[in-house]
Amino acid sequence: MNTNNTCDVYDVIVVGAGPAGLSAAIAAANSAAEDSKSKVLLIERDKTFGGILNQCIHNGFGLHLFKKDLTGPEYAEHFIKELKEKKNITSWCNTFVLEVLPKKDLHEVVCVSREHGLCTLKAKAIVLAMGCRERTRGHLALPGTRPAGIFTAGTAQRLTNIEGLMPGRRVVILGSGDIGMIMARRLTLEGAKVEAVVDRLPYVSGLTRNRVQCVDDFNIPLYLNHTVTFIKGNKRVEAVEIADVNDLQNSNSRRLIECDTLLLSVGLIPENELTEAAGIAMDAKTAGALVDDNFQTSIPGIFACGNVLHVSDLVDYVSSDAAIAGCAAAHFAALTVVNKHNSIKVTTGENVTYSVPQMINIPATSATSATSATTKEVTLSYRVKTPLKDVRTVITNQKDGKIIFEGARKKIMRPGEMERVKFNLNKDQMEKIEHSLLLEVK
Amino acid sequence: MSTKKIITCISCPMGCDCDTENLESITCSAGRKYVQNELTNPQRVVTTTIRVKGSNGRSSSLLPVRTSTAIPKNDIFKLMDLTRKVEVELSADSISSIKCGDIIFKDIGGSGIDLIATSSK
Ligand SMILES: Cc1cc2nc3c(=O)[nH]c(=O)nc-3n(C[C@H](O)[C@H](O)[C@H](O)COP(=O)(O)OP(=O)(O)OC[C@H]3O[C@@H](n4cnc5c(N)ncnc54)[C@H](O)[C@@H]3O)c2cc1C
Ligand code: SF4
Repeated sequence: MNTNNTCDVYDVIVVGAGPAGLSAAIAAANSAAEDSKSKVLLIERDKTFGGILNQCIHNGFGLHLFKKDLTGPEYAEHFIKELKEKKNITSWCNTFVLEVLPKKDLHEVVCVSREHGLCTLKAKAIVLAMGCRERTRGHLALPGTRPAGIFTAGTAQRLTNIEGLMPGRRVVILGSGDIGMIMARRLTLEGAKVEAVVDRLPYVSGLTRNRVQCVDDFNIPLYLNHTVTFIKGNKRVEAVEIADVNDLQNSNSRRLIECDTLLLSVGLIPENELTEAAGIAMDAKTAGALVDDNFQTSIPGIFACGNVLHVSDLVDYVSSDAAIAGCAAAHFAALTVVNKHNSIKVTTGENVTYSVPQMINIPATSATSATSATTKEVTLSYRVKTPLKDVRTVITNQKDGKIIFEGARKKIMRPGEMERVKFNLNKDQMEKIEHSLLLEVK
Repeated sequence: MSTKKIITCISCPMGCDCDTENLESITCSAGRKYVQNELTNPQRVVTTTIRVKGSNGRSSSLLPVRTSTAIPKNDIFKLMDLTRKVEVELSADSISSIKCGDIIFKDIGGSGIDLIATSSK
């Protein structure tokens, strides 16, 4: 490749400046080695930092981290301010990362921008924080014509909140994810009529609070167990047909809803093209990389955090996990020898879709290094498969079946809401777990 | 509308189902306060955008804003009508005239509610 602008070596390069990238870069800059501050580069393809938060003008961010009810841009502002104060972070916007190349010695990042041209940069450690993108009509194979007026909910959000354009006047929303429900309220406030929110599941797939404050508050009809079976319209959407998913063949279960716009809020896909091209091991369940509890991927020195790792519904957890990743990346960059450790696998059992991290590092030969910490705190993020009532999280040692952690009983756990547990592994337990832990909800 | 027995609290992402007939059973104070309000005078913080007129060669754009406090649910559409009509003008001399947290409009339409910028321009 022809590179015209080869720069120096960075300790940490962070790809993507959404909440995950911002938090990782700041943490990496803060956790510098004793003598010198680590040199951090943050790269963002958009013209501003903050990622998806810039278009999320609604409140509901930061309740855990700041104990305040902030809007997306306000939440981002906290981090952008801090970013600007850090002298050892260089940040580039309008720069697209094309490739991440793992190397034996120093990893490489290939990026392009007007200002810097095409350049290959070297880094001791890399943090991947590219976020995710929306599933489109193509993923659903929706029958019908191909008129104008079909948008993903996130695109509609960007048009409404940033560009100042109304996507339509009479709207049907397919999918009751958070973005779909937030847009139902937003478009209603802006004068559109939301004719229906439709989901094929028997429950809303986003947060319950969003159902209450976005759908129920405005008396928007919610059709659960329903899906769109046909799109009508020549130039512009004229109507969509919906039907009961349990009774699709029955024409009585179908109904035609007149509208000029169909929004799709049917899931997010982590943006992992760079990750996969780099040869990093992936988890089929999360569509993100496999990571250990430092958020390090299968390639030493490459870390992943935020929505590119697994889709999160709460930004607070994205920021706090990303800080761990950034800090670990800075430590990795400062290392001369790699610490040896054993890893234990976290397997998911009853009722659990996935869990992150998939691996936990424990110090090798913990018996010999008497000084090493005797307990280790572990945090797991996971989702349940279906809504469950009166359940608790149980973690056992798969080898001897002994219970390591038992959570408090919860009235309800929902797939739309990520669960988190924190527990301690003591030295004795670490020694006894040979291979894996089992995470279950029952 | 019939009075619902159960109200889902929206004060935090937990989204607890609260029994309105037995407020004592709600263990969290934020939740109890929310349910009490919900039964008497339901209120919401409203977030929206307002137009910013470009000056200094800047093109016009949108500024995200929020209400200074939660407002009665019944007043939401009245507020939206008001915000649609207003426009802020960036003064020609200042380099960066709007800061996140600034009061953009005081007492909009005599409602006693302020509009706060949630981003800097
Ligand atoms: C509509 C909506 C509503 C939400 N509501 C809430 C809420 O009320 N409360 C809450 O806590 N959370 C909410 N969330 C969740 C939260 O916003 C996300 O979990 C969080 O933004 C994820 O952060 P991220 O940094 O991983 O991804 P992003 O914010 O998507 O950032 C990724 C960044 O990487 C950049 N990038 C990608 N690829 C490249 C490349 N090749 N080169 C350079 N840059 C690249 C992108 O441009 C982007 O800026 C909501 C999310 C959405 C979409
Ligand atoms: S009752 Fe308390 S914990 Fe439950 S949603 Fe409301 S504020 Fe959150």
